[in-house]
Amino acid sequence: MKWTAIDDFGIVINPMIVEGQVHGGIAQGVGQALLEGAVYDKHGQLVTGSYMDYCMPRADNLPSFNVDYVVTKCPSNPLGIKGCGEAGAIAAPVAVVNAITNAVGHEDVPMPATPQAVWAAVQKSAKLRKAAE
Amino acid sequence: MASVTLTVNGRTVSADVDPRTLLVQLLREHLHLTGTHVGCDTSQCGACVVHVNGRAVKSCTLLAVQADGAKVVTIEGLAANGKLHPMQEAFRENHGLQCGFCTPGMIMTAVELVNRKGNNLDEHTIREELEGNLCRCTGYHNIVKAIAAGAKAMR
Amino acid sequence: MSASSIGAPVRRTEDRRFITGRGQYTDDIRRPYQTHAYFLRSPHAHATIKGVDAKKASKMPGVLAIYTGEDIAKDKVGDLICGWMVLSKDGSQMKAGRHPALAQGKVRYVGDSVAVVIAETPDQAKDAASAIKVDYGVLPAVADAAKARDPGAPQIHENAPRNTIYEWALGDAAAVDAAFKRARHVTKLDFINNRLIPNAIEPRAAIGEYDQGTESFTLWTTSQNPHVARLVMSAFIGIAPEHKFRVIAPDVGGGFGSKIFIYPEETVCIWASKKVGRPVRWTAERNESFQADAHGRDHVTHAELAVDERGKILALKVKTTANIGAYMSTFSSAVPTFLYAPLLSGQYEIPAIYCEVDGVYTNTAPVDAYRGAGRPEACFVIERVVEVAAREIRMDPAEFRKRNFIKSFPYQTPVASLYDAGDYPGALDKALQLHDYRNFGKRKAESERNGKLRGIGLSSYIEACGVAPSSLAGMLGCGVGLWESAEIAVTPTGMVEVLTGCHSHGQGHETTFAQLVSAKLGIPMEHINVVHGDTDKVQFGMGTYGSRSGPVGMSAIVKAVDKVIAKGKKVAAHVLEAAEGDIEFKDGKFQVAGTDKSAEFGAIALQAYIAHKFPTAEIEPGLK
Repeated sequence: MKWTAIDDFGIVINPMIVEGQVHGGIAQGVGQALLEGAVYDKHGQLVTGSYMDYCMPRADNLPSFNVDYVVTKCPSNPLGIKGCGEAGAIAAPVAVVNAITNAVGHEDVPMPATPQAVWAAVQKSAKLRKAAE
Repeated sequence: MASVTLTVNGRTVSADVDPRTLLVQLLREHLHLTGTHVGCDTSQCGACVVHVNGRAVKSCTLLAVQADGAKVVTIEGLAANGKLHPMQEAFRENHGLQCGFCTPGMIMTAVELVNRKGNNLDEHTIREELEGNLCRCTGYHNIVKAIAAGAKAMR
Repeated sequence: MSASSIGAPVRRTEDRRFITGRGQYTDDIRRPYQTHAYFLRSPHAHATIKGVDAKKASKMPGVLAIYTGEDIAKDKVGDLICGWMVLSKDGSQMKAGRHPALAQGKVRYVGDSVAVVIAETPDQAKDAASAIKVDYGVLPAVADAAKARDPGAPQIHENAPRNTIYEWALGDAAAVDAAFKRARHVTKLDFINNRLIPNAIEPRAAIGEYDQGTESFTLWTTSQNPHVARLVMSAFIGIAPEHKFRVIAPDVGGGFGSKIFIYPEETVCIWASKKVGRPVRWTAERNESFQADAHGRDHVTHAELAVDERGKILALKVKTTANIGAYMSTFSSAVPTFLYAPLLSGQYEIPAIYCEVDGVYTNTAPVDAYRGAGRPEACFVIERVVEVAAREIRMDPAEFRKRNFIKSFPYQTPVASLYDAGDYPGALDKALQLHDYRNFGKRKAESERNGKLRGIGLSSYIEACGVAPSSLAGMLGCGVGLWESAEIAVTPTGMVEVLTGCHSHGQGHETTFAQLVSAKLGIPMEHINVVHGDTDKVQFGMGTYGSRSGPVGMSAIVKAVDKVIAKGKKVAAHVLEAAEGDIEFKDGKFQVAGTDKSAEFGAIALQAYIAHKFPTAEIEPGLK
């Protein structure tokens, strides 16, 4: 995974802390896209009821992130700053799904795109390619 | 009730405990060392990691009686004579923590990792070795940087 | 020690206690004579409660009391609330079912609390709970939001027919339909935004304590917003009058939204502390966090994008079914409506948008805000449909975005949001350059040679930080304002306390807020203490969530600092024997303009408290 994030947070008070917020948000977004999903069965039983069944992102699921900024001051507060706590979590999931669908050549990829889901998507691309021939 | 005697952060301690008491409960409830945290119930999050006879161990998965006679070091015992351990310094310097809840376990895991694998740790090794420690805040990016820096500083 | 500066990567003040294991999280706190609560939770997703037999359990070792929903009702404890009224398209109010702190008559999700055992130790409480016999009348359950309104689906709340809470909409349906008729290309997508569990590594916890002497309550709780908790629990749930109720959120190990809400557990702990006459504490086991923390996301969406022959977007049409869960959590109504639809324009000029959202009940845990709260869902819709549209019309996705970016500000979207400023092409170009987008093809070919598939995806997000201005929020049905509070209290020796209504549970406010004040007052960070999380110390606050603490919380601090400087100038004028208009404040010094007569900030603070040098009839002593 190669990751680049450019955020516009206006004026940045402490770039070290802001970057940490971006990292953490991206991790949660990647978690949604690839690993996490709360599942109830048809009887309403929570099948994913512990860390055994619900896949939290771990250090070896994630890359290091390339983070930078552009700056347009916020005109509606005295400091010209914008919030940064949720940015990564908002932007990340769709970027991941856009990348995977680009790789497999069709749009039928669910979240989480677990190894099994990606495998199924790859099988589908093979089928689509065959049908097109 | 069962009797346990062990060394914790250099001090010998004894306690009478219900045999089903976990080591983490002994540390937190009986010894009031609340720096070791409980984050899960399936031994996965790593917030409870301490050193038992030099090995990184999940104290939620060890009974107190299993630590009888052992030498235990917790996060509170890492700084010596008021001076921070280089790994602790590295976490602060590299912003390797946000809410701080996973941090004691992370640091204890990191210190033992260096003891096992040396002072020059690459990103891949660190990420693999952190499989047993969950962090929800940092995305691990700065934790990996902190551990690499702390490893070098531990020379 | 010198003043810090804006933009510096100052290392964090709060780290010291966290890296040495001396943080004080709620579960770390010990109260004298404390007791332990364990919640007996329903194993069924949907059932009537025919009876609860706690006779054997109440006789077990260490058990002080066992309470059920009947006891809550007897004491007239108010229900938990949802604080944001949302109206359906037909003008009717959202159908909010009752949410008592312990289930009354019925359980509606696996994890719904049926009883609480209070005992001397956690193990004794747990052992007794397993001896409680609950006679359940099991009912069919529905967990899937897409099926919750099917004919014959089990009815979860009597006042919400077809499990429908609201049918809401935003935008202009007629304009959208007209635009679609003109479209050269229409992209259609169906997708699910998967349900997530926030899983902060610190589990939720609460300690409720009642002081019989002063008839006052103290609650320690893992909350992102202690003042809101106090307000809700006093004004709506009726536990205690606000002025006799202290809520403390100490160190909190992550929140991500899940610790905003007012939950059954802390409600029961504080209520029970008066009944048993001893502190009552509870800490979630991780499986309880899974069952009973508010979940996030869980949308089923159909989206369509209409594009013209030049690749310009004409309109966006969205229909979403949002799973609210078994009960309406504190902000649950707003997350899939006001925090979602107004962001659907993304960074693009879209002349017409229409979004319909149906909120439904299911027999699952309540769903509420989780990091992003509505905005990740909105960003997924627009960025997915834009990416696919670009592919379908065979245009490079970056080019398609640039062609449609908003370029002139302020920009009024068709979904209520007014964008103030931005540089969307600049941000995208920088990202493409930094990522080496141009050479993706080479990397893809290399991957293929290694037998791997490689793909690239873009996401140009926008979000609304700080939720909304208070008056707008009120117009939209929010029960509270969204302003923030800050107080700068200067001590006689020139030390500064920053009392903020925000709460730091990982965001580093003790550092960044001090950094800001240090830069503005020209005093070292070591002279500044940031205080948060205690309703006895901070007058009020809306808390930390929604990316608000920077723009809203820090703005409040700036205003408070400005007031301190203004008063300082008044005092300095007397001390330095000059006209107030001639006093300047710079780099921590009050100076008479054009002279070298000056006084340090600390010296003026002392004078403000000694009050010898100015008429106290005109200037109140003190500095804050």
